[in-house]
Amino acid sequence: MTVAELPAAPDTASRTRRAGRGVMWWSVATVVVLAALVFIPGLLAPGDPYKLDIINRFTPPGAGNLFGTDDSGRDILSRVIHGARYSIGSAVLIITVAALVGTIYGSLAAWYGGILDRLLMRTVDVFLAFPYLVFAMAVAASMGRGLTSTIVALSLLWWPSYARMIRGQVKSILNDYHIRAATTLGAKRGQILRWHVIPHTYNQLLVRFTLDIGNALVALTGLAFLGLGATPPLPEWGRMVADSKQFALLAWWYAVFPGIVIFVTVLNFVLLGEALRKRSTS
Amino acid sequence: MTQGRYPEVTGPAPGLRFGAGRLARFAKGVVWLLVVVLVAVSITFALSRIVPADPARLAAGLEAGPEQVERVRQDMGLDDPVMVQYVRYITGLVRGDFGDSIRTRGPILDDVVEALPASIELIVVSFTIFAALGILAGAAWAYWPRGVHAVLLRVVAVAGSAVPVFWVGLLLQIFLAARPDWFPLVARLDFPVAGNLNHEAAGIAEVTGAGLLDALIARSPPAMWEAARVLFLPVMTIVLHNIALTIALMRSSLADQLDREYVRAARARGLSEWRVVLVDALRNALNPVVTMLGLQLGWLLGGVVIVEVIFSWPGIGLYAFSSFQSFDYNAIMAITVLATAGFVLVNALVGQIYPLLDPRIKEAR
Repeated sequence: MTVAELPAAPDTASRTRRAGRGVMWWSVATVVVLAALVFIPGLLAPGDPYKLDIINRFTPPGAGNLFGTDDSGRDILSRVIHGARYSIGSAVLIITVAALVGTIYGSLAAWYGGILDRLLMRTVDVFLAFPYLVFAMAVAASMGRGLTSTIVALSLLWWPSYARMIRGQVKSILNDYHIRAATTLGAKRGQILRWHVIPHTYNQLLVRFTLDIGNALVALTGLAFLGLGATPPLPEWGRMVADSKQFALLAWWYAVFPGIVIFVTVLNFVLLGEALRKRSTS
Repeated sequence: MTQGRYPEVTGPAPGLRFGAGRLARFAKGVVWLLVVVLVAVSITFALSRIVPADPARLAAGLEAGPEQVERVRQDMGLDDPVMVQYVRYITGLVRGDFGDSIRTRGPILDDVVEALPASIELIVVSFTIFAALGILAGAAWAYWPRGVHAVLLRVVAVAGSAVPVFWVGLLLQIFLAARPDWFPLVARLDFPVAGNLNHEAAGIAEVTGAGLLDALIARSPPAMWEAARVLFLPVMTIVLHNIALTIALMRSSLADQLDREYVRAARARGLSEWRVVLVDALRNALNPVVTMLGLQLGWLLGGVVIVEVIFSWPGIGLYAFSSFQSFDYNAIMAITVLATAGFVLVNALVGQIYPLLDPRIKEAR
């Protein structure tokens, strides 16, 4: 599920730039809120996400339970808040691993060039030629169900796109004058790579990283929806939507609210990524 | 779903260095397909050996005693060294033998052939709709960048790509099929039934397995209406998600072309506006869009799983899902291999479309 590139509005007016800055601040504020959900859910949630209350099952949204209760009478709002740790945390972890591995792999390929480069990049091509969802399912299914195996599966499938991006960037940076200057001045290979090449990739990396957290969240919750992800008591968002499926006619709020939270979070990372891109290119 | 902003075309660099013509390119494509599939087979095979569930145990059934399980294990060849099993599996694949499903106890190829038409129907209908609508809407947006439609399209382009597919499917079911029962509740939410057109109830013969096509063949308007109704929600789910990217890319691509000098030159020469926009600019603008559509088509091969599961659409995705549920590793391997081959083939076919749009690509090759 690729997230669309946000088309730039006709970029004549400074109105656009101001709007862009507004989007950026809005997104940053949301990221802070999301981070709070990830790190201190206990302080923010109104109740215990695991507390069963069978008598009050399927309570519609109201004063007591803003998002209503689920099939075991658990407060959906509390579960959504506690779920941020699992959903967003996993997405960030997946992309961090992918970006790290991809950066190292891609810069090695670009740096050494020649046969090694071709060999490494052909491997990347092979990985990119796999239909990702089916493969993630195969990996996750073979490692046993659970959040960990889904995280591993998605990280395994995600690093090649970073490897390709970083290789392209490093290759073009290596042709720059400042690299020649550094070489002439006798800088060592590792030094050049570490101090003169990699920092120049940070901008694009950050944009990609932000957008991909949204993408990873969609992939992760999608797999969780198929039963390949967090196991029952955990309030992971995709899992909650999956669990709500069989009660959808009985309790619309059970499906609606966790879904809205996924949607808003993904949307937010997309908008932030696009705002960062605009800032880095202008 | 590739993860990037711009679609990544995978596969060998299109023959630039080996300018030996069509045949060489074709041969390279075939070799590439074989390599990718072989790697896919090897990985899935390795994965299948670390599946936590014991396949012999599953195949023997719940009541089987240890001796029976042992006999099944020997019958299935699971006692042999791993390399022997690997070679046996590969030689089987070459003969077109994907092994037997543990769950349905029949040859997997038969199951796949039976499930395929429903998936193809779903994919082809959805793809046609979102590609056509997306190109039209994106082009209109690029040409008339201001107005209510622009705001609307921007919302669709941003929201559509961020919204989780499974959630949209669920919401459409709750609010369009369950409450006002405008559409058949294909997957009775709590009680999955076959989602595709019920051929018997519609009174038509099952020729291809794809409901809409069968209804066409039977020339039965009521059956066609019913088939379309059954298709509507799953198709809408796929379209809503995928059209976002098409609209966004088409808009930025055409807007970019309309800014170019050649468009101004063509207008200055007095060519009609329609010719300039629809023939010259649009043709150039379509190139990146076609790349992305190809990738999305490839993505649909896997992405359709979620949609089929929500709507109990009896296609290859639902089959894959059921296989995962029951740890039917033979079927998992077969589907992974087939999906990979399909993905590579679609990408290769897309590569064949470029020269039609941009003759320079052919010359460069």
